[in-house]
Amino acid sequence: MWQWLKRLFSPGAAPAEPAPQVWNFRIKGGRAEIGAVNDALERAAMAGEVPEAAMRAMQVALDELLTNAITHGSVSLNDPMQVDLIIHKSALRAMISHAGPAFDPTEVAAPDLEGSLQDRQIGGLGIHLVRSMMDEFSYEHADGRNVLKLGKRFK
Amino acid sequence: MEIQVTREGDVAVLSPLGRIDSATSPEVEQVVDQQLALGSTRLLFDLAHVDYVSSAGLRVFLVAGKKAQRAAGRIALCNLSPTVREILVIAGFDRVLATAASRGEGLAKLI
Repeated sequence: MWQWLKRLFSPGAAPAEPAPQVWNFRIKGGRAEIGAVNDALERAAMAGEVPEAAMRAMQVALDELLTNAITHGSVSLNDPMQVDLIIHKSALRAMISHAGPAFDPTEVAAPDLEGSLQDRQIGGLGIHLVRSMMDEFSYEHADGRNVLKLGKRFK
Repeated sequence: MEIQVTREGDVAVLSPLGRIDSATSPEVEQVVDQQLALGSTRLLFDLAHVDYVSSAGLRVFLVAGKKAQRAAGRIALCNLSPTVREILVIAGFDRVLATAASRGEGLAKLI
């Protein structure tokens, strides 16, 4: 009863959600740098309470989108791609921002998944994986940059 | 990346260690091509120590499957983690590539 009254009269006393962990990366164009982002994500997730499935899904999404940006965008030493990883209590989020022609991957058509082994093509599968494995996937073009936001919720 | 290659009768078993993604998939493809050049057209990928496969890795499996089939062989994948299985299903590859729960079951599918 006393505990209940205390809670009732001190709403500020409810346990606050821990502050999210934020990691920032600057990628200048090397594919090995993608591996470094995914290494950091793996270490941070393993040290915290991120389920492995959520971490792996985010690693796949980052490999797909960062590789696409390096291949098709204008990522360079002078204008690096920014990658922010945010580890919340019950979600992993990422924000990717890079220069280059406007390209909205969320609008890419789903690939054809039918056909025999010899008929199957690889095109479009990467974005299809991202769309299927992420809970949040959004795009905007702002100040000449492509900005992608990803989220994977858990628990 | 480390890729162990062992022989089980007529089957070459490829066991990569780590991630099969845009950075590492060329190495896997190189090992596949080496095996095909040696006349090994039955390939078993043991994925027990693979954390995840991105579309770059899926491409390697697809190309390996096509090349092996054209040489009258085939490929199979075994010991998939839940993440790797999910990725194969999302890509629809579980319908065109043989998968097995264990190495023994995978070998049986290639004999």
